[in-house]
Amino acid sequence: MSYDQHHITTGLEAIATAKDLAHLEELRVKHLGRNSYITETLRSLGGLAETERRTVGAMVNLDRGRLEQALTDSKTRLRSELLAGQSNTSPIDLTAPVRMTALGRGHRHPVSELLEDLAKVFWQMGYNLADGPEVETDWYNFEALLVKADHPARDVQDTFYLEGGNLPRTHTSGVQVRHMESHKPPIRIIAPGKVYRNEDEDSRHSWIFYQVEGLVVDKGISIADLKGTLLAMLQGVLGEGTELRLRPNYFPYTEPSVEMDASFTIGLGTASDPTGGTGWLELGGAGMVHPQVLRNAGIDPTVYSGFAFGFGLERIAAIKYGVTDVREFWRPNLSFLEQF
Amino acid sequence: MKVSVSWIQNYLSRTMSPEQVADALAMAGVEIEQIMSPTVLDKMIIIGQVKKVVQHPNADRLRIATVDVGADSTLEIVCGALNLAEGQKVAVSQIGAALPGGMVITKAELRGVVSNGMLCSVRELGLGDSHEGIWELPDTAVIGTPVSSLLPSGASLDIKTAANRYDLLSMYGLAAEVAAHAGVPLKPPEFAELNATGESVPQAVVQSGEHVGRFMVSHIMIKPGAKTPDWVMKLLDENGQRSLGLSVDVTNFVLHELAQPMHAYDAQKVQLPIIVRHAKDSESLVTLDGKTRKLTKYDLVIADATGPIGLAGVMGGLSTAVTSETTEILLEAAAFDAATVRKTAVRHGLRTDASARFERSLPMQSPEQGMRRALHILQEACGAELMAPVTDIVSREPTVVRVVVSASRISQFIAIELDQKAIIHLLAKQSMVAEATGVDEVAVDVPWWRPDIEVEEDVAEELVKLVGYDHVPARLPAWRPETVSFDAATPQIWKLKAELKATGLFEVATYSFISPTDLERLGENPDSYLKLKNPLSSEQTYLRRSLLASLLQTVARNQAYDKQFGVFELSRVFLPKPETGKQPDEPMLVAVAIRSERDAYLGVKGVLDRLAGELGLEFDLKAAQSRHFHPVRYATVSVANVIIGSIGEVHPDITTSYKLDGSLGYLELDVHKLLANVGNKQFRTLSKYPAVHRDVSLVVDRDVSWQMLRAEIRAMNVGEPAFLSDFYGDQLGGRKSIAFALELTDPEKTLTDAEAASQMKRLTDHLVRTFKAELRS
Repeated sequence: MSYDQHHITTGLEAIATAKDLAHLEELRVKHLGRNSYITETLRSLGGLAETERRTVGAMVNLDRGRLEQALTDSKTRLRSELLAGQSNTSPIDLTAPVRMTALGRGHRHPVSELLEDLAKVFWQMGYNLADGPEVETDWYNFEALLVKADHPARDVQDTFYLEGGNLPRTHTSGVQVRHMESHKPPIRIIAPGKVYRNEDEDSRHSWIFYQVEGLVVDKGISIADLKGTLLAMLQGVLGEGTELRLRPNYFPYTEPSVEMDASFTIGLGTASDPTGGTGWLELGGAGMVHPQVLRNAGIDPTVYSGFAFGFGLERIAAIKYGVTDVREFWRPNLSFLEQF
Repeated sequence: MKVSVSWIQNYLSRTMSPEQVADALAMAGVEIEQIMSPTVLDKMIIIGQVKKVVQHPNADRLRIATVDVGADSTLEIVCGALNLAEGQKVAVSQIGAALPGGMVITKAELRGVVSNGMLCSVRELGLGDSHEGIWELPDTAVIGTPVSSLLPSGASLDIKTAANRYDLLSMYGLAAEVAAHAGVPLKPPEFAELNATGESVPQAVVQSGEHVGRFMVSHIMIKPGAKTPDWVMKLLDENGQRSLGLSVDVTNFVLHELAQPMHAYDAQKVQLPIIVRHAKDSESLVTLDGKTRKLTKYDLVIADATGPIGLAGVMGGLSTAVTSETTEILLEAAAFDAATVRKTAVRHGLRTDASARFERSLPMQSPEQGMRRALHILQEACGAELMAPVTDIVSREPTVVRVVVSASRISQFIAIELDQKAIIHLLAKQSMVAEATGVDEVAVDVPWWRPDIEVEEDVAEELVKLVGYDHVPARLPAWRPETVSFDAATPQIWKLKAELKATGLFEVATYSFISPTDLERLGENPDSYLKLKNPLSSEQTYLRRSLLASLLQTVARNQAYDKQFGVFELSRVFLPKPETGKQPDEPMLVAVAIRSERDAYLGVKGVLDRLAGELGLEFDLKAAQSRHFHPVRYATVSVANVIIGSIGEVHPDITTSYKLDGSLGYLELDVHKLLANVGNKQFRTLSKYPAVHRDVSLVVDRDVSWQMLRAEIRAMNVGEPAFLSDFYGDQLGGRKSIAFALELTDPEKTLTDAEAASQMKRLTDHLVRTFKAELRS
């Protein structure tokens, strides 16, 4: 057989209508095998003059591509026909109702359940749930929150970036700005969601985690309101005897800024003491919304003030359930999950 | 950052314990990671010097060191460290010495050679994590004395400070906070005056002024080989800094004391004037650490006529380094632009004590303070003299900030009652001069070393820190919204999750990013995915568009758990928009995957039917094709003519590619489209009269689905049919039988048999006609 457009045409047709995989394999050997006319022609290119070699080479390669594609398509078709045929012996009416035979007890994911518990605590205090995109712009994730371009938090080592722009959000704080832009005070929201950090993992850090953001904006909101709200939240989630401690800290988007600690006595002094012997758990950051952040979202800071807070859920879940490695929450392991 | 407590103590007029210092710093907002007591080493661990090194006769990786341990005695010690070299001063654990880990050194035979002790690494002595060979001690270490004598004798703190506080990267700045919060008077350091006679010849030219706020150079004559004052040496020592000769010690000291990085050049190796400019792309510089740095046009350098002699704000050059013979130095103190220094440090992988301080932006007043302090110490050490007036090039004028605050507004904001007097009194503790203006206002002159204070809220924060957060009352904010905005979606999502759990599924959380292998196995085109520029690993590169790959992985990894089980997840996925740079659509999906030995479609269909019942919805299924699914076991799911997802049995070639045995059913729905259709469940009046039960069995073509049949039955208005069974036996000649039950009722009366029969006949006639069906008896 020699290289000829006629062979290609008949070859393509034969491949498209091949009845089984064995036949298809014969066709492959005939057209594309080691001794096929295509391979022969390609092998003989070396003897041709430069310009001729290019034209012929391009043409043959094009045909080879078409044949290969036809073979792949035909293989998929035959595979589907085979599967459909097998299924014919025990067909299923896709629309017929199925009464489930129970799989056993189901399990909620501990973090998802905790998030629900927490949302209910805030519902009782009159909060709404708010939402923002997980792929965020530089403005909402950083600039509007006064994290300037040369801030260390902007380092590539902390943030994932997407090709073509934008980034998987590094915190839920961007929702603050989005919500304030679209809602007038009084505002009272929590915004839970996934966040992403380009950091190496260890037993206390996963590169993906759930964060809960809170925001209250109204006339006359003070640090006392922040303190009372955080205390109520901690007592709602960790029990009514829980105490709150605020320590000064720094975040660009709140002023003043604090770190919130919860009192915790379970396992105090033991090797697995989550407080490291202090009796206090570090839970997250909070503060009074910086006047410039309010301004960036179109709210007049001379009239309104507000507070915001944010914390990771895995950490609380880990403490609540005595999980020593937060990565377990993201490694779906049914033997782990069946305990919840 | 590790800081020596005794250095901080140096500026406090009352002695405080490390815990008291730590408490005061915590009130100022400094995070205390750890309070570290000084390490005490066994006295049997002493300083020795390696005199001779020979290869071990029986082991390639071992060598034998002859170590001088003083008092005319030497020890032969077998050592495997690669950095072992003759002349080194080393830490020798003699026989009987106990290491901090509790191990006691005994005489040991290693491959036939007796080792009379051990040469220790930093880690073995519990002094750090470095395990790269043995610890090389400074030349000044005295042979035969305990290694303990080299270690700081005081406690130190491991702290973290706020990114907007350059001043907290200094011992004096930390001491000032301790003084303010512990109520201890502060002892400021002493400074020299920068006055020199002689002709003023500018010794420097700043060409890149927008990146250099201030640049100062002093030409100073020193005594070669002069010793660093003991008190300076001691504080550096306590802080873990080695002595490197007077000039370098002084610059190091000022950096740690005042957060002003400084650099000393050997004046005789520099061709004046110094030029501060951007590097040229072809230039390079050998820095003090001996490494050759290829420079770019973005790097700011200090240069002279011969080329760059220092990487501005990061590290000096080797060619102009001071030595023990240096008689004249050029001392530099500057305020470089923070971003420029940070980028250069990152670009060269060279983050130094100096760059860390510049990165926080130094005030324009800082270089002058540093210069005066350095000169003071040099004068004390060796009577150093300025050889010419100091060159001082100011490109940015120092800012003077005055913040006017309202006492009543601040009192309300921090919920602590403070009048003008109280505010003035409190701020004085932070060396802030404030005065009452008007009846309510206080004008605060912000000290130049606190550039972080710009607005009223910043002053409020200083005040609340000085009073203490413990004194802020806790109360709940009042809430007077005009309307309530009800949230219908959230409880429905909870209900959805509860129902999925009730069917026996495990809720899972999986990563949002998937791998190139996932795309390959699913035959997906990478161009339709958002891709990370800087993934942590290739396993997590693409933002998923569906939960299929993640749940396939999950089920495959857990297949040893059971032959039959199922998982579900609610998560957003990412559907890019055609325009680059636009944020993607992020629909929230719910996906269910159920594994069984065969016909796993039935499992997920069962879940779908449960959801239909629970949510009061009716789903429309249409057989469809997808390369991810079995060719005849895949359907789209619609509600009210809108496709909301799909259901099927995953293509066996794909389950195989994930090394998953058996069959996998998969259901994926758009949560918000699903819930958008949830309405009120409608009550159908129950008849008071008994119903007549009738079962019907029909033989129809195989492509007649239950959904089609049900639609026709409903159209006849004879009540809701209940599916009983279907059957595909060979005896049906390629057709199938399908059986269902009906309850016939009449709201007004009891149906007679005749009436029921007539209704049934009308129905079956219609079905036989419509579907070419046969009625089975």
